[in-house]
Amino acid sequence: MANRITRRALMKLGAVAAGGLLAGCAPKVVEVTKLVEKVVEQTVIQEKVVKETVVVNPAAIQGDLIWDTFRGTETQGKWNEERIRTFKEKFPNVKVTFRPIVAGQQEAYGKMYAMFAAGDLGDCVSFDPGLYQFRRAIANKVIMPLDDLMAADKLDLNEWFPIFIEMQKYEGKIWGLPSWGWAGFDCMVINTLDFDKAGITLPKPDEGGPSMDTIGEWARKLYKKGEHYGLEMYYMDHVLEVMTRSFGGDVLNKEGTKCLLYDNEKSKQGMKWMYDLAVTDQVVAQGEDLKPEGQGALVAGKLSMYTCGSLCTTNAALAVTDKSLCNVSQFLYPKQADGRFTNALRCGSWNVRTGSKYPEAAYQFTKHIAGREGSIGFNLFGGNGGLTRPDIFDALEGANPMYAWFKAPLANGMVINEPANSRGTEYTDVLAQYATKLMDKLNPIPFEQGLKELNDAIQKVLDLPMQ
Amino acid sequence: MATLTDRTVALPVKRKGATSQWRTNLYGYLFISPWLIGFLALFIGPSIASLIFSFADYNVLAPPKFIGLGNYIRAFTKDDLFWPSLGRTFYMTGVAVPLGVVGSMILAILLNTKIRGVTVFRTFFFMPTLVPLVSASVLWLWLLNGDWGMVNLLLRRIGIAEPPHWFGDRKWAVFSLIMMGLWGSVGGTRMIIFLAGLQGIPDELYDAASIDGAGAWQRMRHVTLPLLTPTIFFNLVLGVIGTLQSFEASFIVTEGGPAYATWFFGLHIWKHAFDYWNMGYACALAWFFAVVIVTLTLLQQRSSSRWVFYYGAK
Repeated sequence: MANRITRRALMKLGAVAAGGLLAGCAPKVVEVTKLVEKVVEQTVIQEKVVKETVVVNPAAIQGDLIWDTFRGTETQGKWNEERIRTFKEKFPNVKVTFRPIVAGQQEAYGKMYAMFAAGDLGDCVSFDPGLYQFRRAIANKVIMPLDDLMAADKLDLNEWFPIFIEMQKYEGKIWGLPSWGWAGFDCMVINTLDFDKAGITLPKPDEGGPSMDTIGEWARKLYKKGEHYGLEMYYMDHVLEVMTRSFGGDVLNKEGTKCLLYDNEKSKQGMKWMYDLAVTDQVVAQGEDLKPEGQGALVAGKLSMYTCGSLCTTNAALAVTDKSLCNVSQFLYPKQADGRFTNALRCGSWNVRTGSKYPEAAYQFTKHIAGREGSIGFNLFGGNGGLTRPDIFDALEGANPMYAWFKAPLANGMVINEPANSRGTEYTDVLAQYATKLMDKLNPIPFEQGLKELNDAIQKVLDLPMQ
Repeated sequence: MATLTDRTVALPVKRKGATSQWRTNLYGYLFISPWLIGFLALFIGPSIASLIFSFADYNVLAPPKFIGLGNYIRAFTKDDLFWPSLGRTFYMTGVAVPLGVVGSMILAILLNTKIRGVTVFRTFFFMPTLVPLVSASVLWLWLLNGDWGMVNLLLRRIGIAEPPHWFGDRKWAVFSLIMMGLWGSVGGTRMIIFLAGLQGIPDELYDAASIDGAGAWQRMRHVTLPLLTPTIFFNLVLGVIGTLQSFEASFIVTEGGPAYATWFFGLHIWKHAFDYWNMGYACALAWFFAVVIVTLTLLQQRSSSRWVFYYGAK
């Protein structure tokens, strides 16, 4: 018994042998070839492909990373596990553990804040500018800037649409790489069968849309009391943003410090357009009018159009079961005077936590998930919409030709204006509640009074100190 | 030869009383330690922490910064939703609790009669309590839909051309939540407690009243109701405490809308704590509300000496 080789001895022997093998491997130089994005000139898209080689020594990069996110959990982590597996093939000395955060979006950020406060937040995380969590995470030193790591890596930020890279920047630094991203509530998702029956000719789905007056006329024409709604609207921040922008106004100023709804005549015009449809003429479905609402009502043939975005169009098209009731398409809003598409581009951000023990490994992993293959998977089987790179559209269009409609608005759109003090959830709540009150057809209030109340309530939130 | 007495050793005399008492106490604490540890770690500890945070500017991400009474002053003077949400909560309580207590009591009196199949009736009335709140919310959203809900379809059939939009109408949203709450609670635990209270009333009192010529209503008024007052008081106190803390229904069904119509104080606290991350301010709101609830409970307790009658008490 004394001479028996123990399991501990065998494991020690194995470790020594493996260590020797690893030490004997020569460092492997990985050649990475990238495609640079399409350069946009007004509505003309030019393709420019540049091959660029970056030399990375993957064996030298080591780490034991934790990836905390709720993105991908919608599809049971398939995309997440695929990304980890493919990353391991490139960087064999980096271990990545996926810790899914199972929660709705806003609740997930709350969990991440609590994890950070407890010292348990992972290395690779996501605090999204499009959901007002980005600046708060920066101000409270939750995430770190990536400029130095990107410079050392010679990362070409032209891989992504410029506007989504702009959203990763704050106070002169860049804090992440784009994750999800879309053009926001930039279109009316429609049932073309209703328009055909009414003899209405629709514009192409990816061109500048009809005037707001025309859209209003269509909503009135397609409404049949007690039977059918022509239009359903939601009174939330991104919808109001696009509606007011359609008239040349906006909800907030660019800096996110002032509410423009009452003092800006064009914004007021946009709000009056909504008020006339909802309260004066009462042709708009809102609140509990439709059950199911939105997409469900559209595919059931009970609704002709609703305010949503490009991703809603693809989702609604997939939801159609009876083609005699619904054929899904979209039209955009009228373009801006400078040629930009009227939308409210929003995106997420993949970040590296401040204080991560392995910042370089975390950065490489961030680059891996935001790269071309990662973005394609994120869209096709990751349960998300990440239209942040022009070089993924060939793959996406292969899966669904509708994706072709979204390129131009993404390349030439308008970014959201977010509250400068990062109080996004307070802002969205106040906006939704007061906008609902303004547009309440059951208990109407004068337009000027309701708009002033809405404006002042939003301004009060904007005047609060940074959180 | 050694004898037993030679080997007798003087042993110390055990003080049985003190040691066994100490041991009894120790065993007692050991048996309640799971609860005690949970109580201290998960209730007392967080309560003390929240009291401290209520005097601080604290957003979870950065360390708390002491600001004295700043949060309380903000609540009373600067928060536009503080007084309206408090008022709304009191309104909800003032309507829902009396209706619920009276409804449960009447139901219990009816179910206390000796008729065939009474257990089946008790089961049916109790079943809504077993429906999870989320499921009940979805169910009532459908029932009370303004255009296609079953309730409005029936109302139109009986001649009401423009029935309310219930959850979608600012004027009816709170009442809709009250209706939903009563559906789930009238036949529930409160009714069971009333049933127990009714069954605790001695039969000889009814016999004596009958012999004295008391009719059904007089027996109700002079025997049942007075002897049920402890149960009424108990349900009233619990009802007020529970309804004041209303949160789930408005959170799930209406999210505080439409236009803040169902923005109750519980939701207001939750929003500041877990949505806006004004944790210090939320703690101040919570402590203020705790004081309000305790004060109301004490007032009810004091008033009970005037109308609660305990049978057999001296």
